Amino acid sequence: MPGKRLPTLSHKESLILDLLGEGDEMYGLQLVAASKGQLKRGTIYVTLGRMEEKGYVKSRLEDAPPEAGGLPRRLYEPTALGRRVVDAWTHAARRFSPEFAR
Amino acid sequence: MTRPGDQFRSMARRLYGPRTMEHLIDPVIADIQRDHAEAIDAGRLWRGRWIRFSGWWCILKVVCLYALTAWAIGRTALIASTGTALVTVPLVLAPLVKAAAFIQADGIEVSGQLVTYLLPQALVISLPIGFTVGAIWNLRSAVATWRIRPLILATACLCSIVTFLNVGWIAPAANQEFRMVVSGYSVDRGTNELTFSQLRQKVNESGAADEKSQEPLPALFWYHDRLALCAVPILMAGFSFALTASRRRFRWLNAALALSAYLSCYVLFPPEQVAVLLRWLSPIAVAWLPNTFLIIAAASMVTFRAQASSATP
Repeated sequence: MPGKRLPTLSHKESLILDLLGEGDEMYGLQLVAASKGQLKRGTIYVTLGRMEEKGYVKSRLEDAPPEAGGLPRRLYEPTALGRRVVDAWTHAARRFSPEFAR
Repeated sequence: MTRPGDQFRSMARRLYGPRTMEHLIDPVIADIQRDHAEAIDAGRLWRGRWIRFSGWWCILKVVCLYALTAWAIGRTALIASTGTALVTVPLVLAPLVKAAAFIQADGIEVSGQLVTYLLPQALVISLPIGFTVGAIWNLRSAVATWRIRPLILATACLCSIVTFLNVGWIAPAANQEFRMVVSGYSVDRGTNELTFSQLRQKVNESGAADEKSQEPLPALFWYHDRLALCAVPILMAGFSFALTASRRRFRWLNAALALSAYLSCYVLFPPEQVAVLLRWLSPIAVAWLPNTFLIIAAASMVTFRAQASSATP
């Protein structure tokens, strides 16, 4: 349909959704560490903010106040839409270009 | 010893809105502060210093990236303003040239005030055109248009309201002032110098008498012409959305052709020629003709693209 577009998903967004889909909620620097150099500290927060706007991830502030002081961390987890989008993209990639499929 | 990012945070709170602080600035600072605190607690002093240093670098990158995103909106506004200005200049110059004989004969100085009187009538046409150029610039890439569409529609509604106030009250008053300055004496208001309510009253009073009127075009035409002008920004928003259906390399060409044709409806057709059209069409139909043309152009682009897509195997 010309009026409706598929939700877009960049490589970084796909990677973040993959990492978040593996387990518990994660915070920004945890995602950077888990990506083994594929995600950078300077861009992860902007990407996460954009993904929240798109509805791919949701976030909350951590429960326990930090003992050492400082601000509470923001924890991220994928939404149902985010999971569906990454599944759809993986499926499409596998179908059209098997060599790029994970 | 202050925690890393505390000073920046207190400064940033004055610059950024609550949502940006909560979802962009605070998560960066929180992660840096917690990392730093954990390193210091573990007695890793140099690690703590490194986190503090690299944290600043990280904050700088986040702020720059955010500024680039904000600049994209600013750049669109700049392009829309430039488009408006480029169309406004000839629309201001045209009546000045037309009135040149009076201005020279009476020795009237072409002052800023005289130009100011001509700005509102020019903005009636140039504002929707500038807005459309800005909207098309924003939608030049098909990516993420669904995020920007509400913003474009809201801006279009704002432009429509501004145009309504302009054509209804500001432009008539400015036109009348211009005529009085140029003629040098008090002149009666013409149809273009009537406010919306006065024009509506004239429409109600005239009725069938309009056919015997000395004026080339009936008041009903002018009334609907103004209403049609108010609707233009919203139609232009729809037109710019339809443009995204056309191929990227043809997008600017399609836009230029459609906007030129639309502009020529107002610039190239003087009242005498519009009067000819009124022999066959009703005043309302003639007044809404440029807008109808715009709707047809938009619908054609969408239909053509849909057919092209369905024809592709």
